[in-house]
Amino acid sequence: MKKLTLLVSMLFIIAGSLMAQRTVVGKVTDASGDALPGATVLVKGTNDGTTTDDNGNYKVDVPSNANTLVVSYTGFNTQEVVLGASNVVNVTMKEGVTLSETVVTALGISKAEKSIGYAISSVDGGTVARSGEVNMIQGLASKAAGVNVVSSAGTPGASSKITLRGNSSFSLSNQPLIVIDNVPFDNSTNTVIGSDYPFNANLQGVNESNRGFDMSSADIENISILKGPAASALYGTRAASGAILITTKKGKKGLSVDFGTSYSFDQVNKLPELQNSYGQGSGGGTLNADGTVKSEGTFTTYVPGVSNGTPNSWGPKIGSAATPTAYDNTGAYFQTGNTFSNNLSVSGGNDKSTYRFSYSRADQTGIIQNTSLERNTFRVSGTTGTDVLKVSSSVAYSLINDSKAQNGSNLSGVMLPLLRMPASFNLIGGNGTGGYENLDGSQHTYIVNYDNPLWTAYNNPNTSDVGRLTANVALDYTPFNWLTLTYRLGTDMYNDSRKQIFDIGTNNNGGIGEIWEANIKHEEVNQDFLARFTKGFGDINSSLVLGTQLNKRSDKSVFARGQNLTIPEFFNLSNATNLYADQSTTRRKLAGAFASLDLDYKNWIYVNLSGRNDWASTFGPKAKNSFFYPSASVAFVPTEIMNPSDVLSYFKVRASYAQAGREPNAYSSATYFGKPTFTDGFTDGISFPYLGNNGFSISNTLGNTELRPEINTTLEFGVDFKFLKNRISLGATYYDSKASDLLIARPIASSTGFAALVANSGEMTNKGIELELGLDVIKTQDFNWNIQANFSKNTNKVTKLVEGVDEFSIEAAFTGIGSYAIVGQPFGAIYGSVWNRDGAGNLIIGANGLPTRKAADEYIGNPYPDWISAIRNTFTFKGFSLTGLLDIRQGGDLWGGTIGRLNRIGITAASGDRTEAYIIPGVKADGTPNDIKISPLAYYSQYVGDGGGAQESLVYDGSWIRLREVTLSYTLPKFKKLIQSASVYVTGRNLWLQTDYPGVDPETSLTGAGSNIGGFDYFNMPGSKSIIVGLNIGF
Amino acid sequence: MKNYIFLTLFFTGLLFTGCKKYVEGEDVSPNAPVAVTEGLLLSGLQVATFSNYTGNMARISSVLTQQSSGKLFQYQELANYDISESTIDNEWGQIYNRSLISAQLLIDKAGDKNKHYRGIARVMKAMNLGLATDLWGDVPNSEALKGQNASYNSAFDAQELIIADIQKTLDDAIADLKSTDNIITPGADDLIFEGDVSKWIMNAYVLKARYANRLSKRDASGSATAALTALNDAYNAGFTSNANDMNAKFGQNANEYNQWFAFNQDRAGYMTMGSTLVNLMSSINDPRLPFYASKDANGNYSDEAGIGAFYGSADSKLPLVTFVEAKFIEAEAHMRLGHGDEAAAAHNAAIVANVVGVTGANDAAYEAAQASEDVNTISMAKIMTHKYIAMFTQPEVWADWRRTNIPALTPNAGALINGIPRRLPTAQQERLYNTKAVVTSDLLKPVWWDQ
Repeated sequence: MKKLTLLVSMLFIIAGSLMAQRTVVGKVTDASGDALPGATVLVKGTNDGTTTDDNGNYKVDVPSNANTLVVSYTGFNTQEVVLGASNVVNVTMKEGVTLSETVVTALGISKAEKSIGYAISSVDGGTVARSGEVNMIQGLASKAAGVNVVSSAGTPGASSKITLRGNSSFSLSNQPLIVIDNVPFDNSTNTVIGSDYPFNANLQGVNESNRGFDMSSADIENISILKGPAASALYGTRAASGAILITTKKGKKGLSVDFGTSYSFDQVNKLPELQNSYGQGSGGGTLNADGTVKSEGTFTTYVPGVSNGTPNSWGPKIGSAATPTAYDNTGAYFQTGNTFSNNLSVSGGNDKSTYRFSYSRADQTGIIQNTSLERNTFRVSGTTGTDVLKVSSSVAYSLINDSKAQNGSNLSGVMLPLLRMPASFNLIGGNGTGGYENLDGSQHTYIVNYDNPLWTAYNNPNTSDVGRLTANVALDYTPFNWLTLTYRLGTDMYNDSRKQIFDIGTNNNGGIGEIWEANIKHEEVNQDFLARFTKGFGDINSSLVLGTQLNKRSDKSVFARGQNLTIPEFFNLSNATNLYADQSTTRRKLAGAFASLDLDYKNWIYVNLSGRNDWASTFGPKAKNSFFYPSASVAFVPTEIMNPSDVLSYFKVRASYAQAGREPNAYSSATYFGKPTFTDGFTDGISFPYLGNNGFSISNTLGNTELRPEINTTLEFGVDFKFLKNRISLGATYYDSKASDLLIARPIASSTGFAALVANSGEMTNKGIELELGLDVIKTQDFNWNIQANFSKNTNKVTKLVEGVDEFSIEAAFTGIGSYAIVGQPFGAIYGSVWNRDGAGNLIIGANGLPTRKAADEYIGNPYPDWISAIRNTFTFKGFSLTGLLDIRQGGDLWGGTIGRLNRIGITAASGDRTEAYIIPGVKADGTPNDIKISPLAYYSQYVGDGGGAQESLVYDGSWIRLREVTLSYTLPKFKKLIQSASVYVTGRNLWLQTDYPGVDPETSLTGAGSNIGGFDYFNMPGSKSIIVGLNIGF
Repeated sequence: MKNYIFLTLFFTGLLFTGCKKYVEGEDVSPNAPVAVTEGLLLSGLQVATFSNYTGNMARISSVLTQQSSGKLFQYQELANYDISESTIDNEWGQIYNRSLISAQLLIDKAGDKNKHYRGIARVMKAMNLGLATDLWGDVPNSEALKGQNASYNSAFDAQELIIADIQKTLDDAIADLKSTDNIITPGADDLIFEGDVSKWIMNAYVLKARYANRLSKRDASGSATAALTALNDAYNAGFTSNANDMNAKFGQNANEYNQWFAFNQDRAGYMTMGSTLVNLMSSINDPRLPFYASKDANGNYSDEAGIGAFYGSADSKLPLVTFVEAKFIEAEAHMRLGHGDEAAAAHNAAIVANVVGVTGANDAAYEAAQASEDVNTISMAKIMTHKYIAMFTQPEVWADWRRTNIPALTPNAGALINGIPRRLPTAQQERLYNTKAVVTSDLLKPVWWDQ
């Protein structure tokens, strides 16, 4: 493939050469006479051009029929210079009076930044590409205020969830709409499992990818982040949580070839600390009759047919006859992964047309053995036309293959058997393959029903093959200078073919062997028709957009499972004796009609009034399926009419009010029947077909024919300042939003015969501030120091549920720990058991020395941060640049189920301290201080473990400070005409992390981006850190 | 100008109509039906009942009555009587939103047209409601299952009324099963008796006896008389051997596994045999022990080993209503009424039937020692101790122990409360979402029939 692209690029280079008639030389300087290196000098009407060298000098060949040069430089007004007789032309550039920066707003309309009455953040594509993240969404972490990105893990392809300004829906997506070149781009995280699986599939399985992953950040020119509904409402219901507009790189005049390559070394960045003083066994850490502690227990391990083994590490001391050696099993388990990324693009164009072709490839080997990822993306785009009719089009194709390992609450997972592994057991101590097998091919393991995690990695792979095509074409017709008609047609389709293998001998279903085959197909067609009118009335300019949008989406999946495999290593459904299959199809349509009027008065008062009406297919035949939501915004820019000042160069005040609506999920209007699975939570249960019979029962979720749309109403105020000739810039935004009529399958008591009712059932508010600061601390010819910082604080509160109900579960989690909506608390609150406390907050200790637990569960933690902030410092000296991005999160609780379980089984580092009795601080029933001694076993299993303690003991603060990125780069001087730009860099990703969380990297999510809940850590995959070296070169 | 306004309105109207039309017709799910047949509902209801009677609720009963021993993780907590409102939320939910609702829908759907379906549905309703009230005491019934009528809060009915309703439901069931008003009748979709209504009638009578006998503490003689009447009806209907027992059936596929087997496989080490039961059976050389229990690493029966193959294999059937139970109820009822001869005869017959049923053969020595009681030797302790052995795996054991305190059990060491639980706590979902819920979290508070 690479050879082909090189060949193509050579052809373009040859085709681009033309015979020259004269050679013009000169120097480009600013008003003070300083040279401007890197200014673009083009021959008007041709592809030919060059850039100035370090001294501002240029040399360009001009064909005989051309007589004008076009000189441009960022921050300066572009000049056209008519050539005379002289072949020496020096150009003095004038600094732009106001930086009339434009930003891309909804529907792809570029507007002057100063005219916008709401907050919008712009992120340069290069910033995302340089983050070293393969996942473009993860690359947005810390890049702008109001943006919160949480990665689910550091494993290849793991999803990252992005939210703007918190959660505004209970059950519908809280993630923004991703729009690439004006076409919606699906960013779902799809989980497919047999519909007879009775539990929340997000709690185990693999960390599936969010499909935003399919886009290579090397193709991104710019990202506009539309945070509030005022910015995004014209995109309709899917943008109710904001929108992320990605503009891809396009061809520019002249030919250029760009190549980038990088190689990354990836390692686990944080694991829980484990003890290596005591081995496997039970009975240790207990109290003797005389009150002394019996530290050592009795050794037991798995001996086939004799002993099942134990998960406990309450055994004898390491060094005893039974447990002679301590092994570093996590050290042996994880490897240094690597990521090799390459991208090549060829682009060019002339006055009428542009083109760009790009190819990117990422090859990743995970930190877990036998996990990997390959991503190939191809993108072709072009524009052509006249001032009257323009056509633009782009087509992208992505191919992603990955192989993942199981996660979470899962005996065939990685972290569960690995972290529970006693120090006395050698992960690779078997005498068969890889040390994780025995000679007879069985697993080398320490307890009968846990898989050796290496066996899991090698024998239970989960693979996914994705092919994705996105294509769009847009026509802009401008019959009059006051009218432009635009039609856009876009499609986005992918197919994800997945396979999960549980090899014969794996503990899932008792070693019978199992295969899952799943196929997911997403298809979306989007059409926009826009009419844009512009007209001036004296001092008032106006622009009106009328439009309509038709959107059709279809998601299909087919799942097949085969159990009871016979032939080893033959992973085909034909090898199974028990076959199961199911399917699902979801179709939805949305039609929208909208109008948006922009008015400006003398370029300093701007007003926008918009409205959109949507019709959605999901309401059912009896409900009103049409709803309207308006928005209005104003911006004042007093500096436009003030005397120019060197101190205050720019000042804007803005305000907006907007609503956004969201329609229900598909098929919510009726109550259906389904094939039930009956389980008690301990087994996968019993289900149909059963002994050759089919069976149905009514869905335990009641449909509702009277659903209304969710409405999110936001009021926003903001100011933007630029001081000292733009050396300091400051933006501040305050917003107050209320989401009402929130839709959810809200739980109802089972005594009704049902478990949930789809209904408009609540309200919540989000209030917050966002600050963005830019500071040129030092700005000289050679040395620059720039600081970019952002800060966001969002406070979410559920304000209303349904009558008589103050708390309800959002999504099923584990028994005893849930994610809830509770009136007066933030959405997604962690809910679980709590200790009894006296008036002063002291634990009330029972006669057995342990705290007593309340009968009813309560709010115990907020998984969302109090505030997040990022600070980027960039130092440049000549060609060198050093940039560091510090990421701070304050708050954000995690339920550390992992630590709770590891404490209980005596494997955490803390629980290695088992020679003395413990006394839990608190008061006894009579109010006197507790003095009852308890055993280390009781302390670690029943107080700070999950062996009957209150879940509140397992809630930890997930605050962090991390060095998310640090990059040192060097831009090479130009090399002749051939190499236009070249830079080499080394980047450190996540190299430093400061947190009190005792588990893995607290940037973790068991439930991933496909779920509306978060804050759960139950044997989650760890995060990763990387060192990346790379090279970018442009021809 | 007028024309422009007209045109604008015209196009807007056209656009709006078009948009509305564009989204129509996609609101019905292609993935699930809105109506199903009686047979599908019946199969669904029966498998749900298998899960309720042989899943976690059976294991909880087994651990609390020390027939099994909780060893690891959640089962260690259970052995400490650490049962919270969320521990049993799932089980509560499945009784109502998977089982009782299906029974009600089937009763309504079958109506007067298909009375055999309705009769079976009523038996299953009685069984599930019975399990709910035995475990939770006062539970929703008269106002329950009305979610489809937008009624989301159900009052908790007194247990006395619920037991009366169980009796009435069983009477109605028997009448339905005896009726010939059927357009369609159950066949293979009846996983238990394949449409043999005579067996349903016999078992319905035994259930009537079970719930009559349940009131032994409230009305010792009245409950005994009512139980004996129902048993007489069962015997007259042909319930004279193990052959007509109601069993939960399982299969060799993973989604059909016996739930004791599946539990031991997925949750190895969580639960073993209880020493109380193993020691009791060992002490009398009970021939059923090798069938009930497997051997530990030392080759002994102990609480180090799990359940045996008879009840714990992948496709082992599990008893729901049995001839053996009928005989033990008969023995107990006669004993309460002071009919020693009849009590002894029924006691002996129950043991013999169970030994043959489990081991496949008579055991003369054992019968001589344990099943040869007479009016002089029979006692309530002997009857209930042998019922305790015979009813292994069934939730009925916990109810019997609560009524009779036989066998005498000592609370586990390390228990969080002072005594063996006598009920389950109110489910979390009822506390949170049912404004009429009466919340009880004290596990030692006896249910009405236990007072």
